[in-house]
Amino acid sequence: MKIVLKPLAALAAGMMFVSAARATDPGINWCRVPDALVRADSSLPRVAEAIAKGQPIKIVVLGTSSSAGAGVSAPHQSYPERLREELSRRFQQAPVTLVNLSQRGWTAVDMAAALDAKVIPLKPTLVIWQTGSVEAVRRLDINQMGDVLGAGIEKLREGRIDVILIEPQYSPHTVAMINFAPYADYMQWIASSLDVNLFNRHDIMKHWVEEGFVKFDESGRALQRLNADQVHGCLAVLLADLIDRAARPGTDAGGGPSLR
Amino acid sequence: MDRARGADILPCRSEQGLLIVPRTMTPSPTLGPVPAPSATAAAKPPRDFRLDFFRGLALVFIFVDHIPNNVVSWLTVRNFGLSDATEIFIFISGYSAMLAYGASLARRGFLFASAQVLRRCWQIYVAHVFLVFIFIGHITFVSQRYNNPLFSDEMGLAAFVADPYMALVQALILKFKPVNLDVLPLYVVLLAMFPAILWGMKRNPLAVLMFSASTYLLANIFDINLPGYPQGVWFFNPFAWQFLFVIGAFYCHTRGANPIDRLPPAAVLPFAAIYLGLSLFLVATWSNPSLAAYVPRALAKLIYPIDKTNLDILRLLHFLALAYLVVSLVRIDAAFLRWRALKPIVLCGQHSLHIFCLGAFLSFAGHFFLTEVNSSRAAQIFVSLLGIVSMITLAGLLAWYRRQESATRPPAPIPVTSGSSPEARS
Repeated sequence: MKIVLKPLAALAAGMMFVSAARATDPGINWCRVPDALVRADSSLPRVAEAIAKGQPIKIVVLGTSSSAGAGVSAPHQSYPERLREELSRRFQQAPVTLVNLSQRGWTAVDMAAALDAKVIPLKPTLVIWQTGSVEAVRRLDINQMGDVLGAGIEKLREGRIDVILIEPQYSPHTVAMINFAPYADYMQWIASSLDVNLFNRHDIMKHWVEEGFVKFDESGRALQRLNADQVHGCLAVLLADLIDRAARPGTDAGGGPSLR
Repeated sequence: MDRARGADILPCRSEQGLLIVPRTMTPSPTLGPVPAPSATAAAKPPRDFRLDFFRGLALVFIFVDHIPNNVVSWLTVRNFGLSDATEIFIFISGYSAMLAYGASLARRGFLFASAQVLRRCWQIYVAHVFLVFIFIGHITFVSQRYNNPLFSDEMGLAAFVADPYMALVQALILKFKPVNLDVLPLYVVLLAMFPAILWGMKRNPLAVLMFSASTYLLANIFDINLPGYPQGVWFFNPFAWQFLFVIGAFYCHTRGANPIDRLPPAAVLPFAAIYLGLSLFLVATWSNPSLAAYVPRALAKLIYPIDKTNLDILRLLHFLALAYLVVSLVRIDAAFLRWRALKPIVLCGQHSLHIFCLGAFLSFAGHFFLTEVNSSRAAQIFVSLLGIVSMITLAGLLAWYRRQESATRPPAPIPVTSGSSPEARS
């Protein structure tokens, strides 16, 4: 029996490797998205100041499991860690540190409640606030989300902390059971009315899927991890572009994502 | 509820604005959309095909909009203004509920009319539970087939996946409502309270409207809503959306005699047109961020967020402006309503519960096809067209069946029977 199974297993592994290799083909620079999807509509005065003075940049990430690194092959592959690497590379004169407080199932209300006790004492330069996912999944009160998010942003800015909001993820399979649009729209509105930047993660991932750069329907764990690593890596690069453009206007972040 | 069949049988109100039904008027035993010739045919008020047509159109829009990532949904009303097909559906439902049950009330009394309303309410509830089951089948498949840890939040936290048995119980009491299956629960609640509206309309329509408006305002100011499962609230807040339903009923009950109808259209139309134009521009800024710069920040702060859950006043005004414009432009005898080419849409509007349910099922099936087989634009257009053709086919079949059924039925000795009320049927 083994003699039959072994070659089959080898064949399967080989096929998986080939398809994985195709998925990560370095020739396809699929991180690239239209400029409209990575717009720095607002400035990041604290980050800009730190870069100018060569002071350390401390980032705190608040988010759900997608920010905690669910699905990636190793913790250092998650987009917050990759973002730290990317920013360290770009802002060589200003050391970048990052604290990731993300937790599975966290709502904007939970995160706002953690601001006083956990976030502000860290004296961050920038808070990256990813939310809306759990609200959309559980269909929580959108106005309540908006209220705490708005109040939280005000509080951070009073504490001289920059803020970037991040939208929920996108997958063609989740949209059948979860209606993200009202939550993402509300976050967009909050971002523009309070003059903070919003990272269009939802639209960016949708762009990748629609362009055929990434598929989320693979079933092998290995391939899923590989894809997740790539999605997080690309998100980190685009997020770094957004921070770069907002903190160093005029320098332009290379006119597009710079890949490793 | 769905069919304003009462229109071709009985007037909603007489010239005096009261619910009087001439006893001489015999309801036609033919329940098809085309009234059978009878002795009283000449005396009948014309059937208002506008109700059927625009409701049919709303059903098509709802189907197309409910397929995620569907390029065809760019053609629907929500991309050209602040309100969408839901407003059309709820308003026409309120209007035709008053038309049919108001007639029933005048003819058979309050108790019987209420019984008819509640029977319809029950049918819609059963239809909703059936749709929930289809939805569960769909997401069970999707969540098992695409169990990708990258989306652990999205997949794992969905109420049904987390605790399917509890979700079932909660679905039965309308607390757990899967995405895009929110309209029928709203409709169930609206019909459950309709006997009270009916009772009030007969006595003091203006008081009913005022009470409804106050409820709407209170719901908006204090954010009063029904609870959802496992948390959250109803996507369509019944305390807010009832206002539009009651506006429909009020407008039907007082049509020709209410202040809006008395105003010269030349005084209202410009405002309606300007508001619709501004809304169109505002909606255009959503898909084209470079236009957003033309919306002053102070104005944006004032108007956003435009909340669908509580039927934002801007949405409500948009729908009313749109309805005014449409009613002014499309008269009850408008020729195009009788075009053969548009007959399929009218038919869909006449069988709205069946067509809504089929549309909900087809939107799941369409999503399934687009994710499993092909998600190209051509596939999106194909799926949308196939769905619309299926809806039209079912509507045609239902109309045919009803004609056959009534043709074989022996003439009733007493013309007024429970079966003669259109609303209680279908």
